Amino acid sequence: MASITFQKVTKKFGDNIVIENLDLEIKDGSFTVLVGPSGCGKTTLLRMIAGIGPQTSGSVLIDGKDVTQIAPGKRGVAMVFQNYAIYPTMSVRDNIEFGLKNNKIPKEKRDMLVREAVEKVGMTEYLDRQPGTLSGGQRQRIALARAIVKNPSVFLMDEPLSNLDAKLRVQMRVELIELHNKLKTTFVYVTHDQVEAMSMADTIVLMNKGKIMQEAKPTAMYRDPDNLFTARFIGSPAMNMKKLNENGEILGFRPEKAKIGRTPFENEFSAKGTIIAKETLGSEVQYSVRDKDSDIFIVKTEDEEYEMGNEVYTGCDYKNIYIFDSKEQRVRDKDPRYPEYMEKVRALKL
Amino acid sequence: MKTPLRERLKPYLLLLPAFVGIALFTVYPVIRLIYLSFFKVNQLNTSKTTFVGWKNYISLLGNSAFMTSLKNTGVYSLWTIVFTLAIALCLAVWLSQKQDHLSKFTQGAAFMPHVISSVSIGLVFSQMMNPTYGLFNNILAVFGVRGFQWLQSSQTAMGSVVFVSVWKSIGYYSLIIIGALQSISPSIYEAAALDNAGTWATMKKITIPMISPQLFFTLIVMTIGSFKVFDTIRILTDGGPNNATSSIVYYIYKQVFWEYNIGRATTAGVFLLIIVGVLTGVYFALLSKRVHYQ
Amino acid sequence: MYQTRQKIGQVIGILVKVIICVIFIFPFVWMLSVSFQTEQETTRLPITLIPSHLNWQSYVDAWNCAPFAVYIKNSVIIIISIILLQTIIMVPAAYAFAKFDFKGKGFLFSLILIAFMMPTQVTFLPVYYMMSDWKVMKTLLPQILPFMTNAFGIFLLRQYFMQVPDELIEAAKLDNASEVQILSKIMLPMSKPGISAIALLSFVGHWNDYFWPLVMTNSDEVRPITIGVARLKDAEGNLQWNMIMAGNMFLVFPIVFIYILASRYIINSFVYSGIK
Repeated sequence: MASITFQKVTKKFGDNIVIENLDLEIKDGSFTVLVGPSGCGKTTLLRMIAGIGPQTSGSVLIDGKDVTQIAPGKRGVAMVFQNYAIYPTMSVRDNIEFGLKNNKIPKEKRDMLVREAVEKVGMTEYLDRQPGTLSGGQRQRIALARAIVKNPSVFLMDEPLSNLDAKLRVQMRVELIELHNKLKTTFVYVTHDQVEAMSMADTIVLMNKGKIMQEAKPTAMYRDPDNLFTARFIGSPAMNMKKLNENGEILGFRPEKAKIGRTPFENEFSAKGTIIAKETLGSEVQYSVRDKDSDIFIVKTEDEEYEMGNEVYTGCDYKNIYIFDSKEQRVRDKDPRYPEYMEKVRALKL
Repeated sequence: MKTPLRERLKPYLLLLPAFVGIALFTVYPVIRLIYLSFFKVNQLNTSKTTFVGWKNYISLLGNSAFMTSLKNTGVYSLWTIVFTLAIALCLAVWLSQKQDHLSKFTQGAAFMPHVISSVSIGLVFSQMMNPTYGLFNNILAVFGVRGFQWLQSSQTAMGSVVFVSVWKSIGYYSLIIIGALQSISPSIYEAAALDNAGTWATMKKITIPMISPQLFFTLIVMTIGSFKVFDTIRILTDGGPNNATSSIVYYIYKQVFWEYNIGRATTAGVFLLIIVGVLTGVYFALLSKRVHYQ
Repeated sequence: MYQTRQKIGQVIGILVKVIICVIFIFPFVWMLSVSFQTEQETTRLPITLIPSHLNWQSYVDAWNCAPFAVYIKNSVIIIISIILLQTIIMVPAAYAFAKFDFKGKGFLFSLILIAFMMPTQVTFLPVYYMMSDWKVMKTLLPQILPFMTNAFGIFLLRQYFMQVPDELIEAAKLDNASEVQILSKIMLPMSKPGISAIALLSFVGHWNDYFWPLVMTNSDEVRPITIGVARLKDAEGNLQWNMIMAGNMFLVFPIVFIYILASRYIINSFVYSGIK
């Protein structure tokens, strides 16, 4: 159980600066997900915590203590790798025991700890098997057991589910959340999948090009994005966007807050367009509407009467419209500039 | 119905030249060698060649020159393999950690002797090991160490030959082991670091077990190679002094070209064939049992 | 503290690597040095480390004391002939193993394996007799023909050929291509890197070959360079190390020169073959 602090951390690979002067505080006991596109630096940060990819400058603190000079094996940190990194020549038992042996834990205690860990992941019958005989999902659990047995203060996970098939992935997601609730240890989880981030995290740290774009709870990140990047990255299908003018000012609205109709909408955002796609999702229908500027809006509604090629209007309540200034920053309703931006929205003729 | 027969014959036709070569220069010679070993061969008057059954084999086992060469070859192989493997392994583990320019250059330097002829290497080391004018003893003298007899004394000759062979082979086997080491995913080492494993523990329980298939193969290839040793010995010591460095192949060579004793030569050749054959069999047995680590 | 320990570690690492380089390169440097020394310098104590001047005389003496021009010519002809012969033979064979199914395929393939592992030290005597009987001992044939089947080359090319998509070949057959055309226009181009690696290995192997030419040659007109250089040591009278080393340079220099130019490529070719 430990908090993690990054202080002015910089990471360079040769001349390439990947992360510069980053500050971040990860709360003790949280399930924090680092999410972002490839190359954003999320795995780099994770490896700094573990000590296997040390920072070029700056400090990493675990539970308030600077761990920069402390070897990875002595930081009280456990990690589950994307490709599991199970030792192929050792049995499952030896794999899990390995760290304990190196820390000179006596045999009886080792046996007990190994048994407990392997029970927690449901792999007790596999103790004496060779990793080569196990499936991907089983190896994943062994990697997890190996991490659990260390009783670490921090659990690190580097895209642990990305090599599993979809069904297994969903199942493991639930198991990991349950594990977190049971152990109450700090979990730091890296993924590029925003759906995974939204479903698992209590805190999401969204990164892009080595910088933190927003740090918030999932609902806050969804409903109240700080900037254009966050608005675009989070949410599936992505937020609808429309340029206000040529200065880079943009408005956006979520598909589920969008409306569709045969006549223009009064006193709200309204855009004329043609339906170019209709996807029936069972309980809802998702329409893709192309407007006169060839922008496409996605509307999620229960209304299934519209068809391909129909001329329709896309609408959205002004209170559900998000506004972003020319610097890609969000303009919230408390912002003094809000009224003038809304004027621009109202002035749109679509 | 021209197609079926022509089609069926095609692969055999494609293989024909290659197998003519194999028949002429592999299969036939082996058969003839084994055949000849059962005869007392008279080179000058072939009609006087007589069938002697196992006599050649029995007398060879009692022949001290042959048994010495057999023993020497065994000793040579053992020391060469032990030293080459140990040093190559350490060098490989150490050099594979960083891939900077100096490491690559060092790998290249260590490898170079492998592509140079044993004749050239033998000649240089002959000079360097010359007790009076050679480089080694003169450098040792600078440090006040008394020089060795190197190739001139039957005590030190074998050691000197082993030294040269090890020097020649280390680089090559190092690079093969480096290739094997690089097939290990770096995250395994990272997991080991997080498991608080020291350098030795990692080597012993992770690195070496993971490359052990390649190490086995290398071992067998090395062994087969050592048993065939000739060039180095011919240049460095000519089998001496006093047969101290005579190997099986050297013995065969002498029997053919100096003693004109074809019976002994062919029989010794069959011994060599059996030894290499057994080692090859082990090699292929291992190949089929190979475990694939993912 | 941690930083200084790291720095010291780095310096030691560099030092050790330099020492290793010296260990492996030095004998060649020494060979060069001795080849340029005068006879007095080689027989004088204390020994000379660096020759006083570039004494080319030893090179001239070495060249003149045996027909090196003939030796080198022989080596070159032998190697080129072997490479050509091997290519013509192993390409169709590899193609057959890669793309055809036929009765006895497994058996024939194991024969290839056996040929690959069979030591020349076992087969030389009967082959010697064979060459004698054919009356070709005065030619270069005994040093060329026995190597006509390059079993290793067949292995390697087979791997390359197996990667050529079957559809490509089927398409060519639909275009009425003959096997020769398939070989030359599809298979060969795809395996160029493989063939050049094999040719390289063959070149180095046969340039350096000593045992086989030793047992197969009786006269200077067919001897290759390795034999010529080795015989420098058997010369009458005192060993003239400077001359021996100069002759040695004839043998070593071409390889070292090529190696310096293309070491990465050479290493990769050799190591890949070793891993197989």
